[in-house]
Amino acid sequence: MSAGKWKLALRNLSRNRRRNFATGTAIATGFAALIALGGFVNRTENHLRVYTVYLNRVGHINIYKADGLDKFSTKPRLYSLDETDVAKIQQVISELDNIEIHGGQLIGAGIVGNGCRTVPFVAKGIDPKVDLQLRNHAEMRKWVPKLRDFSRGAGLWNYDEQLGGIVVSTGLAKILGKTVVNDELPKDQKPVLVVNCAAPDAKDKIAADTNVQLVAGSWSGMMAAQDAEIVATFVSAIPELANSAVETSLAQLQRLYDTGSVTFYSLWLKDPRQLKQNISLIKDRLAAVGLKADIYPWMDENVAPFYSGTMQFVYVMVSFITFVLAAVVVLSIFNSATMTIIERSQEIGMMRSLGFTRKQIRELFVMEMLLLAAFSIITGGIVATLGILLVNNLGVTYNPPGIVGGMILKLIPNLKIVLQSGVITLSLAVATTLIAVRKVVRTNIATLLLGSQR
Amino acid sequence: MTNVTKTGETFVELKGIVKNYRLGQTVVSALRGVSLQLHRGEFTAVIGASGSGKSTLLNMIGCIDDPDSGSIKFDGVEVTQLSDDAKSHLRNQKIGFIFQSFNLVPVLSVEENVELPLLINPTISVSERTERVASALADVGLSSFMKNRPDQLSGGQRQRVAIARALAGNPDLVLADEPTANLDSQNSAKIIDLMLELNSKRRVTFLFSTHDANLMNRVSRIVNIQDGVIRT
Repeated sequence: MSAGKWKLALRNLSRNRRRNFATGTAIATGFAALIALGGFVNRTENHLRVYTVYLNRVGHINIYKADGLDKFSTKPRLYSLDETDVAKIQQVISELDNIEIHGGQLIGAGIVGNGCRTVPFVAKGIDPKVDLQLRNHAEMRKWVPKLRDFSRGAGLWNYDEQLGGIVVSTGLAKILGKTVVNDELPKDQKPVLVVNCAAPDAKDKIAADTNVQLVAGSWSGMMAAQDAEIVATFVSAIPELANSAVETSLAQLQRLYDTGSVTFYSLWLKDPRQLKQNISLIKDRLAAVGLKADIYPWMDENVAPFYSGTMQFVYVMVSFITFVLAAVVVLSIFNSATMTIIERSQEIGMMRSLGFTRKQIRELFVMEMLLLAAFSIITGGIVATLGILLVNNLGVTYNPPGIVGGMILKLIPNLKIVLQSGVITLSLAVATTLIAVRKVVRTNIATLLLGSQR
Repeated sequence: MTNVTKTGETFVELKGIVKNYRLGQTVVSALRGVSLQLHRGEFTAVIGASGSGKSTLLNMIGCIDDPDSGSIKFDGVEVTQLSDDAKSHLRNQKIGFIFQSFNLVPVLSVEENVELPLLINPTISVSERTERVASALADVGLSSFMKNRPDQLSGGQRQRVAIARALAGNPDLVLADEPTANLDSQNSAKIIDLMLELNSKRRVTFLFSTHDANLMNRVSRIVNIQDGVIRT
């Protein structure tokens, strides 16, 4: 029976070729658009995720002192993790298998000067070895290969701690008038002392030197100052910090603030899919060792507001477009199915009189639509693949709000999205056909035979 | 010709069938308490003016429409009480239909059209299906047209295909609603000859509605219906 029905369904597709072509085109276009849209979301989500987790160093799991996220900036000593806390965290995570990278991070602010001008900075200190691991992470190479490079110079891990190396945002380097980084200095260059900022050559002297002074109020209440050498410049991942971001080693920043504490402790997981389980486990174990801590996953809007906000916007936008696409496809299928059913009402009556049940008639129409949809989906998949190849090769850069340096427009669909799109398209086709055919199968056979559905 | 030849036992029995249709505010009485018995092997014509209730009567017997009241028994089974699926099953296994406008599926070949009702009969194997199709087409003289599409056939040939389709399921009863109305007199005669031959050869009961006076002299029984009531 089934083979015969499929054969009949296939033959019926050849009946009104123009209409079926239009319906098939709508389905194929809708499917191709879903794949492309899915590819855009996939690319954007992965870009932002890696940007947030590895480049901006928001670990998969971030451990703060209880209330530390809100109160650290006003009472850093009370709401930071001291050496004892860090030791407890390290003890807990040493028993877990899923931790790939971990390290404490210290956030601080102050002013940075070039001898003639001072401007505010916001610094983040992290162990350079951790930074190296993050920048070399496979996810970084895969999703943001260009952003992992410094604008100029090399990472802190290349330099001796004694050098006092810092990495500054390109905007801050420009404000400070610095045009070189440490590696670009002549080997025999001596430190430049600018004694007269009004001198005609002061600007050139400052530009040719990588030395700056960091000044901040230490946690012990004193003013502290440090000499630092700019070893690299980078494009800040956070637009608000484009002109003020400084990255130092954790030890250097701790020296500046005269503390051994960290603002928070970050963990990067081998398998981020186990995030919830790991958070739950760590929460329990930290409580067991007596550490009152708040734990935030990387996508929490409190620690990654940019990721959270942007993705919400993307999802709303994509949902709207998907809805419109689905509506177009559904209406097209419905129109086609309704027209077909009206045209074939007498034939449906004949088939019913031959003994076809309502269910078998429904099945026949669904089979026809499944065949059309399957063919259209294959066509749509081919069109989408060609379109995506074209778009990806164009290398168009666009600037989504909040992403420094822009993004290259790339559509990277994954198999899951393609399969989901296929299932959605087929489901819409089947559901719409069932709705369209619902009335006719309930119509009296004698009425159908008269062609009264016309 | 009003003499009735009962060639077998009663297997379809209608009692007091009433069918009304509502057309807007108007109620049209198509059948007004019709009672009728059909016997195995009969070749019966239902005659009457347009709108007299011929087609409605055939629809009731063929279980493709439900009466408002009354009883229809097919092989002793009260069909008015059957579910839609059960009635579909009954139509498939026991009744063959021939329509005025042939109602062949245009995208299927002659062979596939004849095979259509057999596709949904789970008791028939593929080989038996092939045999039945070949036999039915041989009976109607269209063996050499098996692979043709309906649009490659004449009107008379199409009606032969429809007859073959009606017979392929080995039904007890074939219902034909004005089977010669769309045919010229020559083709009409051939179709009637064919139906008579099959009635005799296959012992299938035929019940058909017609206006064709030529047919009335050749049937074993005539049922005359007027204004929804059987007069003879």
